[in-house]
Amino acid sequence: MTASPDVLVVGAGIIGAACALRLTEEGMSVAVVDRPRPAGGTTAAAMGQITVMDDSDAQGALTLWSQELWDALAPSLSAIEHDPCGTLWVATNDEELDEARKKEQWYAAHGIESSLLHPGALREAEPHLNEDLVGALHVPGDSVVYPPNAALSMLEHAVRAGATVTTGCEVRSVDASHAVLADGSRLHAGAVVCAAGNHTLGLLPRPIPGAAIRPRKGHLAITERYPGLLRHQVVELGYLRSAHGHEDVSVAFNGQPRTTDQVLIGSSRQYDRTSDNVEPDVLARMLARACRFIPALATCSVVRCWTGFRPATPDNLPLVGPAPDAEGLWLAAGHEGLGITTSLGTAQLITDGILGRPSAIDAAPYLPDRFAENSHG
Amino acid sequence: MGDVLLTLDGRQIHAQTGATVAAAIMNNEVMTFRQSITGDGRGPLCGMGTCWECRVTVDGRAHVRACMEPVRDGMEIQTVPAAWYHPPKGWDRCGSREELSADVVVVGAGPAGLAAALAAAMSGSKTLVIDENPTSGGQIWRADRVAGPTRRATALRQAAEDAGARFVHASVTEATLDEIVAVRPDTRPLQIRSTTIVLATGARETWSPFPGWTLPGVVGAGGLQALVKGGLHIRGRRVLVAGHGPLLLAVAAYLRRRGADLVGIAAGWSRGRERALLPRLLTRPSKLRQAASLLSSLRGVRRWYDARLISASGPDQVRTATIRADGSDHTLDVDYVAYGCHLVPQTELARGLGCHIDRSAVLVNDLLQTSVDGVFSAGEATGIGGVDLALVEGTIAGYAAAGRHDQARRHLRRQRRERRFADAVTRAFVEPMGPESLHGDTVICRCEDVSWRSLSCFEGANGARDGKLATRCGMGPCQGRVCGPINQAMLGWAHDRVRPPLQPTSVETLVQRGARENEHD
Repeated sequence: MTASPDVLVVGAGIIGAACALRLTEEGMSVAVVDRPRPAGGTTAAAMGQITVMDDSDAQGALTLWSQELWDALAPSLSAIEHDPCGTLWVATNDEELDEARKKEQWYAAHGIESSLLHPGALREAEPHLNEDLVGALHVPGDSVVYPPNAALSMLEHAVRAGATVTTGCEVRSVDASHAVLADGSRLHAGAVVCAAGNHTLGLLPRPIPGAAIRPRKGHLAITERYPGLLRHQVVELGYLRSAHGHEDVSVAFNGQPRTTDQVLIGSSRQYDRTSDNVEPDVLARMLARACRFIPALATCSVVRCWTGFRPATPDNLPLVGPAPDAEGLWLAAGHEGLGITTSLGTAQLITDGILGRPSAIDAAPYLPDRFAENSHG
Repeated sequence: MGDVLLTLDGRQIHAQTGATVAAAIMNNEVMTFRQSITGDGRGPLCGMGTCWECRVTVDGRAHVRACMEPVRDGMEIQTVPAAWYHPPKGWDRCGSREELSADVVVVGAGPAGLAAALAAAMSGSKTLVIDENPTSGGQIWRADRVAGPTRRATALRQAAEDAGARFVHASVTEATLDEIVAVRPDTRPLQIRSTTIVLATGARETWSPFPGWTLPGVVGAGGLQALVKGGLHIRGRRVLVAGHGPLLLAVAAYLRRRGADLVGIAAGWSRGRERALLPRLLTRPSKLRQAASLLSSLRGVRRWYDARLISASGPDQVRTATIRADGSDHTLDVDYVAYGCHLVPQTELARGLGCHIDRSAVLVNDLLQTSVDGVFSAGEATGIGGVDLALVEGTIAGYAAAGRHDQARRHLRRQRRERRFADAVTRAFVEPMGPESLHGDTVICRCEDVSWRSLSCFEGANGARDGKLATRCGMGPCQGRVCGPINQAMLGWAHDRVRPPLQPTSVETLVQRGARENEHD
């Protein structure tokens, strides 16, 4: 990094890696820096779903666009364990089934294939689900990946295209056109993309009115290998209530089949936790929830449990775009639990922004200064 | 000892009461217990529940360690790779959490743990000992299915029980400073509250990988001994004993007594260093007698010094092993290779509690307190030293844990003497581990089939985290217990963080373990 690169990317998680990849593909020189290692933060702990979410139009637009980008990119990435398993949104009662119907309409309106499964069809699709489930919405286009390798593989591509990746680099602050390291030295660049997850806002020269990123702790457990136990990503329809709720601890079932025949079990959400220890009571609630949907899981062995911190924003949308009042400084952070999915859309928004061209989707809902506008409006 | 009737892959077999499932399977000429993720056949390695290579499906429950499971009448065992999933036969919800409390909890009922329990209980502390084996004695005094429990283990346990200590059969999955959580054999969680913990978690074997080391029939040296104690018939079987560490000679002598046909001992150490132990032996008559009896029971067995195991081959299980010694390669016909590269302390629990680790062992002060208040450690966990050192350390730790520092100090001299002897034994028999025998496609992580080629770029302390994330090395059910020490030796990896559960634990057990008081059902 002797000469200043066109773009300095701070953070080598999935967001920083995707940005580095897209920027180098556009012919820019890119330097990526991270503290301990690439893909070592939230990305290392993530489940890795590539899912279209309908919780808001803006979320829908970004996830849908990102999924298209993923489907195009995935075959060229290595060891990412991409599994086009699809998602089953499962209903425990008629009220949730109504929700599934609404979901189906939303997906149809956005050109996404989905179909309602009655209990018989659901059992056929996923034989080990609880027999009391009243139906499900099947979304075949969703997939899962192994997040650390996805980020590493993107970085590898970027490096092959000329990017540099430097680890052991503790960034203390960022500003337009430079970052300041712990030893006081500065890294200069034509533009700076701050993709440091939960740490992002703390690195900025001044706060952004109304913007916040709160670490939101999540637990995960992975089982031994059980071939044939689970075929689809299974999510309970109550999931969004949990994701958007503000209870102290909320759990919602999300199970994923991995290409290793293991089952990855989530999810829990907690604000205001500083320790990354596995909390036995939260883990117990999360696993009990999983058994409610897949009773056979009860006897399965869990080989590992871990936690991670999702970077959550007040309106559940990421902060993507120019930092206010610091021309040349860009933010790409705050993706909560959807960072793996939305990494590629985010990277495209950032790349388009730096190149001064319009994007395929409207960038306004994700702009970091949107909260201030709202407060005025 | 009566017979039990069970089925193995659909055919009826007999096994002796008390035998392990692993022994029952191998006694029926089946050596391949499971298929690895890349389709390799695998069989038992450690024989003591740490490597998870011997897992089979028992009564519909997948991933059961055959070496830890006793045979039962009517049991259905399957080694065939599971391409299906059934809920286990006769499965019922596991019971709700059981809660116990004690002043001193001793983890591990080997020599150190038994001695600690006796000392703590005699000092008036309410003492509870927890061990994952049904019979006390640890690895060194492992109960023999034929000969019964080891006399010394039985006597020491009896003395501890007479002094008031209580023994619990369960596997520890989690520990904090306030409580230890374990799983009963029936999968019920057990929560033990205590103010003081003594970690007597012992040691496990380690191995320097070589081409063919994953073949069924290449077994740990201590592992093969444990399997034989679990009922494996070894009479007339051709066994090559290879590697380094003092355990090898004891295992060789044991196997020979049990009728094995020892094709030789390929010793990694030199004849000169072995002989250099003699002057120290002469100062310790009891150890001299032990050594003499060991050597006399190995009389006539071929021994190579400065020898190295180069490869093992055989299409489905080990048939030949090649060693390099005296400047040439020797290929031997074998049924088993009993292979070990000394021992490593088991420090997972200590690390989970935040105890400092120094050169792979739990760091302790002179009264065997770890860097964490209220946590003591004794025996092999604090550094490999053998049974006599473990006994005296257990006594010190037990008294210290009970607050009887005066009593504890009385044993310090004997501890120093045993430590000096143990260090001399280490100098005589232990070699540093190096990558000399590795090929690029030699598997290092046996759970996830990660090869040396894909790991060798992850050098240094950070390699542990980077290598794990990128390759899944160490992320299988053994949780890095086999590949961890190898990568530390070969690549300089640091210990990675320990997170509960410390071993694979059923979902239902974790649900019951974390259930709040009013949520039990």
